[in-house]
Amino acid sequence: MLTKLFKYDWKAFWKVPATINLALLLITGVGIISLVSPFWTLDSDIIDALMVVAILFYYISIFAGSMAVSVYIAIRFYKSIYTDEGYLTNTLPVTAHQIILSKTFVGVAWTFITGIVVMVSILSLLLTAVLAYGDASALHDFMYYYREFSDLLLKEMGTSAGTLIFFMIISMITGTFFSLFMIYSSISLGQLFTRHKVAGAVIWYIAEYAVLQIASSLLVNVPLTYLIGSDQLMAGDIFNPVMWGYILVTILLSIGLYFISVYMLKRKLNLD
Amino acid sequence: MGMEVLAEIKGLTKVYGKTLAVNNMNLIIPKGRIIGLLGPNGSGKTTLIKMMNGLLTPTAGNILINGEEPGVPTKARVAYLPERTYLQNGMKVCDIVDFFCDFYADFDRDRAFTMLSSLDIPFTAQLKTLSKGTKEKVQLILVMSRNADLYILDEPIAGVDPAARDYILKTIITNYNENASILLSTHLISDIENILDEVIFIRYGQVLTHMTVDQIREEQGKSVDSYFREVFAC
Repeated sequence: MLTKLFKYDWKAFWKVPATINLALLLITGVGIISLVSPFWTLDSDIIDALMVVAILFYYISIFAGSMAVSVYIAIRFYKSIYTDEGYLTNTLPVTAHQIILSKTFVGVAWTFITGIVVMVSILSLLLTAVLAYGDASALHDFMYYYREFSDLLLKEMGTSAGTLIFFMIISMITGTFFSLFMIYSSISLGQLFTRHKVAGAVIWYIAEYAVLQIASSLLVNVPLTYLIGSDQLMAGDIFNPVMWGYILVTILLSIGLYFISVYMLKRKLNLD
Repeated sequence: MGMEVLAEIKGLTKVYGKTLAVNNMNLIIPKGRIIGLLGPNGSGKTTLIKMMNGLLTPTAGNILINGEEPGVPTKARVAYLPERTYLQNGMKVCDIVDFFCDFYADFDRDRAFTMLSSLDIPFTAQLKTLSKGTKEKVQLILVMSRNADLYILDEPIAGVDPAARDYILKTIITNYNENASILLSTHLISDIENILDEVIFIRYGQVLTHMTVDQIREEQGKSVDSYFREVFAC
């Protein structure tokens, strides 16, 4: 049943994020073409101003594109479970777990796809810019500074650059699940409001966000204070546990939010 | 009535804020009957139906269908027609038939396509291009193409034209097996009273009367429609 749900969720979902991602790739393509063309080397004041506008436009597109995918994930979740479509979704012979998991897979898949598209876009534009306007030594320099940074990291923090990158990838993956479950749980908890359930969802989201901010600042600041107060401790002694502690907490919180979403669907469903 | 029980409702209550929509309701739905769920607006018909389908969580009491509370096993055996359109835009008529075929083991695809043809609904039409009445017909066809134990139809004929109404009622009586029951809520009593075996009158979230149509005709000497008008006279 989970695969069937996934199939139909995917079919109902893919068009909008695929269009958004195509648009981002199109913008990237235009950017690359303009970078290799002699356009930006024209000697004019307007060109500089245009460059600023182009970069700003690019930033906004990338940001708006990623945001739009997240918002669409929220809208699809809400519509297919808690509006008229929910009359079908919630009378299928499937469990609440299956409904939420299927939507999670679709949401995570498109968040990753969008993330990859954004990264590819930024990297390809950077690389084009370096190749078009810098010289070959630019890449050399980059590798040099990367090694410098890597050595420094190992010496001061006791962590290799590889580990740091690994940590960043893992935290991106757990972070994706976490932000998805934050959306799902706040929409589900918004249903506790008798009226204005969408506003209720937004309020829950803000509340979850605030709690999260406080919790994460505690998680970072408490060990930091401890570190400052101590003579013997090295930054590295704290850095690794905080890093992996952060991931562990994200995973635990994600699981908690997932179960809240399932519980609301299973035990508290009240469709208008 | 001495019949096998299909669904049993005990002490069922639903409170919305300060409104008591269903008030300590007790009801038995036997097997193999077509039952009209009749009552004025706001009497609790839709609330009861939604609780039976697991779309609303009861405040108190319980519902047992085939001995189980609303959940995956009951959803597999109950065919439900809500009083609103749940069809997703962006799907075609044949897509939604596939959807039902995928999820409901008791779905009869041939029956669905036969009914769609009879009502001249094109298989490849986009759902969003269909009129409201046609969407209602599609939903009713999907529901009646299942071989369920219990069909729960909330206002199944309200939005369709009289010709389609006749076809649909004919479809309802010819397409269900004798062990299945149909629970059907409507305001249009005169249109359906010929197909009903039993009626349940509800008011203020409680069962006022539950008797067979024959009983009403014999004991009251009236049609269901005129008896309803008498009972609920304003």
